[in-house]
Amino acid sequence: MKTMMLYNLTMLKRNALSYGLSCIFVIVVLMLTVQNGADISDTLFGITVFLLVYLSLLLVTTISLDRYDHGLNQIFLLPLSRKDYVLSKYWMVYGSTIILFLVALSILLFTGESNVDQIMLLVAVSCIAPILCAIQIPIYFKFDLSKARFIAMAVYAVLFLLVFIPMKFLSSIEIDFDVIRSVVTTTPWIPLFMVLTITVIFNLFSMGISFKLIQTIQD
Amino acid sequence: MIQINSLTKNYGSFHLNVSFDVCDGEVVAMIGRNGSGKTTTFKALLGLTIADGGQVHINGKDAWHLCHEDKSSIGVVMGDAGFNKVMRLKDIERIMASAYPKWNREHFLGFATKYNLAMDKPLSTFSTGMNVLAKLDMALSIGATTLILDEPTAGLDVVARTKILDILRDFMAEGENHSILISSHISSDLATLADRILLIDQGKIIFETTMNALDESYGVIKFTDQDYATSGFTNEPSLKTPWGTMVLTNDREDIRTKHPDWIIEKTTLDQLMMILVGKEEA
Repeated sequence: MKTMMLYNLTMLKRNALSYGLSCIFVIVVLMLTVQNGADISDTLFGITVFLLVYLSLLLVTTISLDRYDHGLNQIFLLPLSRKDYVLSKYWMVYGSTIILFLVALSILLFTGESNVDQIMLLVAVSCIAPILCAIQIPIYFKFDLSKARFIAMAVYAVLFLLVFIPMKFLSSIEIDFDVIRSVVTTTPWIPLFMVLTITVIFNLFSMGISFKLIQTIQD
Repeated sequence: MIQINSLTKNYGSFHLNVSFDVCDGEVVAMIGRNGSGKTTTFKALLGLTIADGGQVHINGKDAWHLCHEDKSSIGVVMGDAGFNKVMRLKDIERIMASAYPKWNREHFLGFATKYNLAMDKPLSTFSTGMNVLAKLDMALSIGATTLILDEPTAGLDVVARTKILDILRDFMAEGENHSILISSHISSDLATLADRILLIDQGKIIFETTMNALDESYGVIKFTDQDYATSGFTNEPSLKTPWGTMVLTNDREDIRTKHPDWIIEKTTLDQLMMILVGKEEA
């Protein structure tokens, strides 16, 4: 596992110029918006979401880069299992997410803008990268980069419809959203728990598929 | 030692079915045309592609379920596979050092220095020859006793190929238990390296002999078309050429004694390949 983490970090390092530039860009935006009187927590959440989405894309792209020029054969010749390779991709996502979460949390605490609700919201927002990667990683194992991008987009579209259509339906039958809103406001741990549960389920399901796919890959 | 027993793999109309072994201290070369099954054999024996059947043992252990330590004794160079070319050798050195317990850093750096392989430049800036040398450097620095090399000399000029063959000879001289399984479609490369050759065609090993036997017993008899028709060798493996017909024999000296007026030469690997598998192309 240590070898694969080292490998993944090296691949990220060698391909992360655009990510580094994006980080600098968002930090500059953060400083400018706060200087102009914008709410620091709103700005911080926006930037965290941006970085998490971007990070998830970067991490799954390393799978395609691994496959370039039959590179997976070279990796599978190393004294480690294919399962180690898959797990390392997920651990990279979790590790990077935790680091981004801690950075955002530190900024919140440092600026004195934090409260329990905001920290809970930050935890929920931080689940974006693990959820996105849980969807994308098996797709990138199954298909090459050009196909994987389109298929991932199609999957997101389907997921969006799966959420959007029931919401539309619920609003048409005149459910009192104020009740739901008040439950969320008074007991914010309930939606947070739901988000965390969905994240865990998505990731376990995703890992199961990835473990099966990696055994069948013949690069 | 590598033992392969009825290794099978089917791709559409292509069927691979091979059995052979590579003993300690031996260099076995697999030759054959492009698409004859060399790379499929190598990938299947290494577990990179899922074989449909058969057994492969490397150093007495099931090759498809090797523990990490056993994997460390096998150095592999696949001509068409390697680390992503954004990587630098110094990156690879760190990764390999972490993966292999017997990683020999001094050997890796010494080899890189000897062959002018830049440690801090991306592999994408390396020439084809340098990339092969870099892969060989990795394979030799893990403390391997067995090398499995698939087309390591493909696309290289004669100077680079000679350099690589010299490195392989040095590897064999370093240990009595060292062995090499190497494939190439450039058969002349292997003539001075291999102890034994396997000729593969359409997924099957159609000819196998030692280089000593090839040198001492095999030969090609060169006939004009007129002489060939009356030679009594029309049922032997042969190849029609612009000047006549070449016939393969494994009894060169005896035929030379009986027919001192015939043109009989030692067989080169290229001639052997042409006679045995090049017929339909000629």
